[in-house]
Amino acid sequence: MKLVTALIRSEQLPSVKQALFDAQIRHITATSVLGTAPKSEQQMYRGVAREVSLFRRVRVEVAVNDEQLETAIEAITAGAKEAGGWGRIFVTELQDVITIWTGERGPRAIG
Amino acid sequence: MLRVALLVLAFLVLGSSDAAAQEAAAEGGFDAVSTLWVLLAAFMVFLMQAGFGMVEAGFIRSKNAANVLMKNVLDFCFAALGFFVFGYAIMYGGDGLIVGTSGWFLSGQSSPVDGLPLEAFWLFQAMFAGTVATIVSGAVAERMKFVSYLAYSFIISAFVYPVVGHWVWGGGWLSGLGFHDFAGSTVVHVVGGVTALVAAMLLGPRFGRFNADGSANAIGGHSLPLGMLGVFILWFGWYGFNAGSTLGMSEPGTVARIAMTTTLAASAGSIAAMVMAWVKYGKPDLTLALNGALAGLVGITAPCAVVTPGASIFIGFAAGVLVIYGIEWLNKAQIDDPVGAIPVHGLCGVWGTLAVGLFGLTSLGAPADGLFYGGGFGQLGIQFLGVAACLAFTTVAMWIVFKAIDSVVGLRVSHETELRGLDLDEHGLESYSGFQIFLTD
Repeated sequence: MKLVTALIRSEQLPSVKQALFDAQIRHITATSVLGTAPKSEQQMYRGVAREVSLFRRVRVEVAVNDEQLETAIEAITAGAKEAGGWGRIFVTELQDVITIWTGERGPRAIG
Repeated sequence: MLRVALLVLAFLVLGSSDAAAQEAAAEGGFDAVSTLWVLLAAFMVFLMQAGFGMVEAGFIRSKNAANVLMKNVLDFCFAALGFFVFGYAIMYGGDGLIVGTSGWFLSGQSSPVDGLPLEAFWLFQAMFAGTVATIVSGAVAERMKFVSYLAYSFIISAFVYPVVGHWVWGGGWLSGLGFHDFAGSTVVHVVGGVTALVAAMLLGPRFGRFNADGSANAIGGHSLPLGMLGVFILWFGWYGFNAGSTLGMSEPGTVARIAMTTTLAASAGSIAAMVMAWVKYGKPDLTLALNGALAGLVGITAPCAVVTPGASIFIGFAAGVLVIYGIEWLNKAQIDDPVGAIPVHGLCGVWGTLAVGLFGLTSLGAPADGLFYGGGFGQLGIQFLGVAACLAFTTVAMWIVFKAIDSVVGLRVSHETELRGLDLDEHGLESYSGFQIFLTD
């Protein structure tokens, strides 16, 4: 089991979500987060410059079984490329998954 | 304590029934249209409290929004009571050169305006006292103690503002000289703006606003939509502020012309500030365009009745330019004014007062033609003297007031409170409980 975490821009969320749905992966969680970018941005507020180095980002988390991993990565990549192509995907090992309602554990619990 | 309270209450009841009896005797003599207009104008100026509240809340960080709103609510309430008990008597109680001395609690007073009930006149004037007090809350936002602010707001509206008001409108020495301030560029806005400057200098800047090398950091406002709503509420209220200062409807043409000059000056001010920001900083900044509209409104407040529409555009445009330079100067001087109250009300108030001496026309009701209409420097000199005197008096009086408050309860919240936000530490609540707000600094 793997946890796929994608950090994308908010404008990429609709196409990433649609690509995951099209790949029959329907259990996703999206969170608003702040993240840095390679270059910070100069803004002017009331005549004073300010350097903005933290930008609004979306973190998408998907738990998948090992055989679905490549499908999930491909879907997220395709969806992200539809809207600019920015972002990072992190894959981490999942120790266990538990469905609270049924008490099911492991690969069957991912759904 | 209870006995004192009862005595005060008895005095209030007796005093007001006294006034009511006089009113009843004169009921036939009131002009219904004029009374209606002055009351409506007073209600519109009252709404400006909401305008100030929205501008100030929008231009500061969300962690201090409830605190600045509390200050806006309570300064009006203290101003209303203070202006009833002390303020009106100092401002309109007799023809003394410096202060009025009769009519505490409005007792024994009659309306100074023919056809207008005393209550309507008082209400309109009390709204102005409330406006002066609330100008300052934006400049001291995010760092001034709530209790100190309450003390200040009572003192300014009960004692300090009425003295300047007496000089100019209540029969004091400046009105005798022919000083002309139709709706209060000096009486309201310079007094409020200078008090804001004194307070901001004594308080010092918000933590993180200026760097060790003297350069400025931007601390972004948390809701520009609220700021924009506030400015339009203020602009709407300003029609009551300026056009209502006719104190009647005996000259409908003047009322209409004032509404027109007010509109043109505000529009020109906003355009000027936007263009200045666009040229100087690369992009048109909404907050500066909003400050520009207010700058135009403050600028036209003194001359609104005695200048042509063309002159009002120039006055507003110049105010919009001035406000940008004012903000830059404050940044250089390391004086922190989160909403721009000092340049908008102080600087543009001075400009509007002087504009009477430049653009005034006797044919429209000015005491003398202005410099640009061949009237020479006479009126300009009187305007300069008047605004300088009011500015000096307010600076000294408010410096003493703030120093006194500082020595008793302190002016500024603790560093920890400032970091956590005044909403949580001073009021124990959040402005946006249940909403996620992005914090980027």
